[in-house]
Amino acid sequence: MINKKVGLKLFLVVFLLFVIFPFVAAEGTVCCQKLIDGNWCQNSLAEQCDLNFGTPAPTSCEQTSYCSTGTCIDTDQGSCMPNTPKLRCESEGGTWDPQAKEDIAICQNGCCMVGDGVAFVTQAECKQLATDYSINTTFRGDISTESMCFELSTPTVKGACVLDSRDCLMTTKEDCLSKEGDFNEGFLCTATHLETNCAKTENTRCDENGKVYFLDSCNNLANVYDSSMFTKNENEWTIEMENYWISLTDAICSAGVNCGNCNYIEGSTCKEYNRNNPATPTRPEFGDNVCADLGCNFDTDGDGVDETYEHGESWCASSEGVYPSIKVDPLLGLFQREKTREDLLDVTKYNLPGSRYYKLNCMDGEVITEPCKDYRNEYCVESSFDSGFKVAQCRANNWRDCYTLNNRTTCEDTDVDCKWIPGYRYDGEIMTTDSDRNEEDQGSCVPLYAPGFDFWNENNDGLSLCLSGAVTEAVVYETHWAGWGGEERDEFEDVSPKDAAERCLENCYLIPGYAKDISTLDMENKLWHGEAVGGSLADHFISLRKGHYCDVSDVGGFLGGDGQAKGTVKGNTVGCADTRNRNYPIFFTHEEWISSLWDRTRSLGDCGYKSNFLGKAANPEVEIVTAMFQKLKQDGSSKGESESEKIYEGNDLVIGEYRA
Amino acid sequence: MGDNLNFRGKQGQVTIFIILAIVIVVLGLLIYFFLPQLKSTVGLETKDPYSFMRSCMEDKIENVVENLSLQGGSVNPSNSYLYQGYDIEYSCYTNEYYKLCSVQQPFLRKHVTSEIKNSIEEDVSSCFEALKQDYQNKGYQVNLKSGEVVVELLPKRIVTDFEYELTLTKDSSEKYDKFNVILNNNLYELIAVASSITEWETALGEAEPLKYMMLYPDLKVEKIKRSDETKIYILTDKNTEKKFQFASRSLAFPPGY
Repeated sequence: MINKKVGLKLFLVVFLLFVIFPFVAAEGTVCCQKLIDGNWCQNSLAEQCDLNFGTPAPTSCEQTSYCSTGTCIDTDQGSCMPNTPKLRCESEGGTWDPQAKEDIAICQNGCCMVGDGVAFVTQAECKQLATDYSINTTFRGDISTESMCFELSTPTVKGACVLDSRDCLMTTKEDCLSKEGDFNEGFLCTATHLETNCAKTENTRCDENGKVYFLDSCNNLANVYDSSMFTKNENEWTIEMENYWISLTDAICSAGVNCGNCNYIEGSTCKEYNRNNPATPTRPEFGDNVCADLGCNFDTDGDGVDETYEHGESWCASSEGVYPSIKVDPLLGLFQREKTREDLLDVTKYNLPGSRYYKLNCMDGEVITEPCKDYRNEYCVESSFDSGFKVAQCRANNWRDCYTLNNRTTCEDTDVDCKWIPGYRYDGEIMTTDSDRNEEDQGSCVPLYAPGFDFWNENNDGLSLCLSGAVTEAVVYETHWAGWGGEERDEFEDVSPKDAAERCLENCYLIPGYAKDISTLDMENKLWHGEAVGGSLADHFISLRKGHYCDVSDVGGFLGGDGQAKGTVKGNTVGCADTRNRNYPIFFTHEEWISSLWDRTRSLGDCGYKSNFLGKAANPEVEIVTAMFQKLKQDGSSKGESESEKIYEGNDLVIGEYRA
Repeated sequence: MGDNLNFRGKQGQVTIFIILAIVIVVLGLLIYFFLPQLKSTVGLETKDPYSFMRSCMEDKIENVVENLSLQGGSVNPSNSYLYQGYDIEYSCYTNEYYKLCSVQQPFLRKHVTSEIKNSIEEDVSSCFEALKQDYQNKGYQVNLKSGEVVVELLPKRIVTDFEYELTLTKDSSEKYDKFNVILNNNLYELIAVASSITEWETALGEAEPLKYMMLYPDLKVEKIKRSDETKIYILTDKNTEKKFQFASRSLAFPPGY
C-alpha cells in the first residue's frame, strides 16, 4: 500500500536580483510659470517654482490660461513659432494664438524667391527677407511644400554685358543697364559676334553652386567645365566646341575629372586639385579645379580596412556591446535576415550594460557620429537600397510595451521590439494543460533590446524592473512516515540528491540536476505520452511520482484532507483521477528552468549577471538563487526551523550541503 | 709732414660733419613725411572718430557674438545644459518624459539681437568717453550727444549702429554721426536653421541633421544626445568654422519607465 502523506518538506527557492534602492513614489506637481532653473511653464514640484513669476497653479500647465501652448507670432518679422507657452510668448513681445500654426492664415508658409534662391517662409517673413537682403522678393502662396519651393530655385537670367570699351562681363540685364552696357541675354562674352576683348581660356574656377566653370580672359565664368570643349591646338577646334563658347548652355556631362558638372546632392563639389587629397586624386586636363568626391572611407567593422561610403549615406556603427548592424527592409522596416533576430536573443553578447547604439553619417567627406538615445532607448537600424546606398536611423526601442503583451503571438509581432521567453508569466498564472505546455501563453514577453537603467542613481526604476523577473516557488517532497528506502522521515534530509529528487511531488524542476541529460523529446515520449516509465529514468533524477498527483479536490485533499492518491501512473494518466489528468509542468528539466529564469532576468534590462559593454564581468552576487529547506506539517504549516542557503550565484551552481 | 697730417685731419672732420648733416636732413624728411603714420602705428595719435570707435568696439562685439553663439543665444543663459564647458541654453524644453517640448525662445533672432545690444551698451559708452577725452586732451571742444545702439542681424553680417553725435571744434567744427561696426558673420543664417530645428523639436521630438546638411552645403549640423535626453545641436559654418550651439529636450525617454 502506498503510504499516506504523513510528512512533507518544503523546499523554497527564491530568485533574487539586485539590491538597489527603495522606490519613492512621485509627489504631486504644480504648474510653475517659471522654474528656478529658468525654464518657462513646466509641471514640477512647487519648491522648484520661481515665485517671482507668480504663484504656481495646483494643476498641469495645459490646464492654465497662461501656460497653455499655442502659436507665437512675431508681427514685426512675420515668424510663427508653434507650441509656445502664452506667458513666454508675451514676455518676448509676441502675439499668442491658441490655434495651431497650420490653422493660422498669416503663418502659412509659401515660397519666397529671393534673388537666385528661395526660402519656404511666411509672407511677412518674405517681406523681411527683402529688407534683410536689400533685394526684391516674390512670394508664392500656392507653393505648399518645401521641396516644391526648392525646385523653383532658378538662377537669374544672365548674359554678356558689352561695354563701350569692348570689355565684357557676365551679369544680369538690370546690372548691365545700370552700367550702360549692351546686354546680350544668354550669350557668353567669348561669343565671336560680340567682338569683345574676352577670349577663351583653359582656366577654371569654382562657382558658389559648387560646379567648375571655364573662365574667359576677362575673368568671367563661361559654361560648366567640359574638357572636350577646349583645346590648345587651334586646328582641333570643332563647330561644337566653338558653339560651346558662344552661348550659355546647360551642362550635360557627368561630374568627374573631365566634367565640372558637380552636384552636391549626388556627392561631388568643386574643389582645387590636390594630389594628396583622396577626394581629388586626378589632375584635370585644364585648370586647377575638379569635382571632388564627397564620399568617405571608414573602417566600420574594425578589420583594419576602410569601407567606402557615399556622401549622404548613413549607417550603424559597430560599438561595443550592441548588435553591429541591424539590417532592415527599406520599405517595411522588418529584419532582412531572420538570423538577426536569433542573434539578438543572446543577452550575454548584445545590448550589454553601458552599451549604446550610434549612427554614422558621411557628409562632405567627413564621418559625423550621431549617438542614438542613451540607455538603449533607441537602437540603430540600416537599410540598403538597390543601388547599395545605405540609410540608417536611430529607432525608438519600444521595450516598455513588452510587459503588457501576454502571449507569444503579440509579443513576437514585428511591430514591437520584444521576444517571448517560455516559462513563467509575470502574473504567476499557470496556463499549461494536460495535453499542452501552452507556450503560446505560458511565458513572459521581454525586451528584444535590453534597456539600460541609471542604477547608480537613487530612485531609479532598475530595482522594480529587475525584480519583475524574481520568482519564489516551492518544491514539495513526499516521505513515508515510517521512512522510505531505509531512511526514516526525519532523516530525509540526509538522503542523496538523487533519492530526494525521486521523492519529489511538485515543481521538481527546481531541484538542481533534475532530469539532467533528459531531452524534451524523452520527457514527452517516455513520461507523458508514452507507456509506463521503466526504471531507467530514475537514473535521471526523475521523480518516481513523475510529477503526477491527483488534484486535492478530487481525492479529498492531501494537505489535511481525507482523500488519497491511488492508482497507477501510466503516461499522463493517473489511476486515481481518470477524468482529471494532471497538467504539464511549466518546465521539464532543471536546466530549462534555470535557463528560462536567466534569460528572462537578463533580458529585462541591466539586470542579472552579465558582462558590461567593456567585457567586465558583473559581480555574481547580483543574481542569486536561494533555497530554504523546511519541514511541514500535514496542514502545510511550518513544523519548525528552516534553513536557507545560496545555491546559484551568477552562472555557477554553489550547491553543497543544501539539504544537510 | 705734420702740417700735411693736420690738413688731412681737418678734411676728415669736414667729411664727418657733411655726413652728419645729410643724416640729419634725411631724418628730418623722414619724420616730416612718415610721422603721422608712425604715430598712428604706435598709438600716439587718435585715429579719426569712426576708426577709433571701430577699433574700440570691434573685438568686444566679436567676443559677445562668439560667446552667445556657443551658449544658445544668451550671454548669461538661465535655462541651460552644461556641455564641454559651455552653458548652452534650451531653445525648447520639457522636464517631463514622453512629452514634446514647449518653445522657450520663440524669437531667437530678436533675442540674440537684444542680447548683443545689452551686452555692449556699457562698452559703447566707455569707448565714446575715451574718444571724447582723447580729443579734449588735444584741445578740441567736444560735444557728444548720446543715442541708441542698434544691432541688426543681417545675411552674412552683423551691423551695429551707434546713433551718437560727436561734434569736434577747434579751428573749425566737424560733426560725426555715422558710427557703426560691421562684422562679417553668418549668425543670421545659423539662427534661421536653429529656429527651424526648434520647430521640428517641438513638433516631432527631434530634427534630422542630414536634411539640413544636404540643403546647405556649407553647413555642418551635429546632434549630440545626452544621458538626460538633452540634445545639443551644433551648427558650424564650414567656411568660417563659426558655430552656433543650442540645447533642446523633447520627447524624452527615461531610463526605466
